[in-house]
Amino acid sequence: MKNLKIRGVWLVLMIAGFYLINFLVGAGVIDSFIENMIVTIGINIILAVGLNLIIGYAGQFSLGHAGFMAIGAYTTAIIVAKLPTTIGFYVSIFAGIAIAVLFALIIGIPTLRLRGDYLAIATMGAAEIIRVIINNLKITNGAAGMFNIPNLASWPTVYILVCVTTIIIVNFSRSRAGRALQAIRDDEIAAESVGITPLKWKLAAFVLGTATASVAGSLHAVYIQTITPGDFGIMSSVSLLIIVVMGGVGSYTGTVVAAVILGVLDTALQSLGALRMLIYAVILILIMMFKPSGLLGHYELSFTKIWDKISSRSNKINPKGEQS
Amino acid sequence: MTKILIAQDVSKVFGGLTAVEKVNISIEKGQIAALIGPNGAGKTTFFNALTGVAPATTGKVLFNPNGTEIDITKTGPGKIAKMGIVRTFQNIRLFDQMTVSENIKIALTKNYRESFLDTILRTPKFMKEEERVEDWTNDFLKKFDLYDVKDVQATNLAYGMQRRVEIARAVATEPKVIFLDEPAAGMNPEETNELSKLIKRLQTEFGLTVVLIEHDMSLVMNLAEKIYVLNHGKLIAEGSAADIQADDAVIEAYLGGEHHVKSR
Repeated sequence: MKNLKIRGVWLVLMIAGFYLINFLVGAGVIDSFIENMIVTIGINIILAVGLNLIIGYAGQFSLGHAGFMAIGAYTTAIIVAKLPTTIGFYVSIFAGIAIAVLFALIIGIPTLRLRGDYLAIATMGAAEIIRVIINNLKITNGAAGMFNIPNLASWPTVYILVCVTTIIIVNFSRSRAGRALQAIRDDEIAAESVGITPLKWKLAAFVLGTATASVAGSLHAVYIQTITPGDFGIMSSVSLLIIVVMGGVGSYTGTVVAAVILGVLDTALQSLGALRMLIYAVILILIMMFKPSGLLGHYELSFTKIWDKISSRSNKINPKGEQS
Repeated sequence: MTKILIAQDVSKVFGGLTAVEKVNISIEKGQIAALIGPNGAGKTTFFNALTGVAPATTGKVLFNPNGTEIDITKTGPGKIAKMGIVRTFQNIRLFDQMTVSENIKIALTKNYRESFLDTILRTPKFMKEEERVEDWTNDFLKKFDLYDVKDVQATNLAYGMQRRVEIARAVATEPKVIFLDEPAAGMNPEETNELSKLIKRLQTEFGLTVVLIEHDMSLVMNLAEKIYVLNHGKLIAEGSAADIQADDAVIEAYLGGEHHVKSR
């Protein structure tokens, strides 16, 4: 019963958020400039939440997230060029996921045996390979990139996909899978000694994280409408890493908060041009100095906890009262 | 009596050092066996070879859970654990950041019947599975007198309790054989006494075969039905507690040889 109510709270919040944005767009408070910001934040949330699953839960330091985003973006661009409808777009999302998963398996099986720095280098190399392949294929139009991609998604699509991917990843993390991943991260030898296969679970997290990155890439392609291989270089992976580290490694709430803060800052400080990068760097250094675990550390927004707190308090006030 | 675990001529060589040399043991089903020996005798190395953590250089390890012998010499620790041989570690290896209850649930990972789709969609099946595992875990923790601390983070428990959780976690995988690597190390006499009762219960209540490495001789002599003595990587004696206590080679290993005494 409690579980259902808490799920209801989340659902109401998501719907309320949707109508709030809808209302603000209708009232003219959100112009195309701010809408652009919201969509960018949404895409970054999808990417960073997936990356946090890989880094925070699985403890695998991946520096190749943008490579998988590129797979989604190019798959969508190629398919919707032939099939410029909403159905074409959804087909392309699933095609992108399939290709990204295939790549994740090919890259993951040998590299996830590595640890720490080695894995970071290996995933960075893998993303570079993806980028170089795209750069040299005819179907992807080489270094010039693809343009005039039909605009098949606006903020509602992005909003819904942010909710869907986040729910999938959070649910995955709050299950035996998440527990197994944390166990492997804390002590791989002990995890193995109780019958957990580390490679299997790490691979599952890696594949799921990259699949959502591909979805974000698809959205990016149809919203921005122009993509080039240069958009998916190492710097994009690093900026996603910054969101994860800033919000708190292992905290999805933190990831969302950091993505929003950085997105808003990015838009608000647009007039400063390149000076923005300096400001980000200073912010990041300050966070690392004063709160190295990130803005929210391991904190997660949980209505279950809030619920328990409220009900225990009301029991104290009215000790004979029935428990809900 | 069937032999559940057999080591044939197991050797482990590190570079030029032979840590374990041609050790033969065979452990009977349902027995409590102990492996003793002075520090550096190669006990933990031998344990590691049997449990797949660091496989033997030469020799064979055979496991016979139900009538057929399986060669597990080169099998990895994860697979061996799934086949039914689990272990605890000399330096306790719990998942520190998790609660006692979660530590036990980790050991049940393979027992869940939910699929990936159930997990991400939070279907009724998922909820039922979570509930089933929760109930099972609670009952299980009661058997180990750990129910009261089930929501305590593992790292905040007293040493003796941590050891108990580690043993419980190993038993939760429903093994056939459990290896305990110095379970009484660092415990006070009272805790050792509790531990000794627990180990006995593993045999009687859970039907496990127990193999332990231990320096606490009162514990070993009380519990073990068969004792193997290692010294310098070689098996120097085997037998019941009485046999071992009277064995010249064992006394020499622990107290020094006759000629050693004479030369003084």
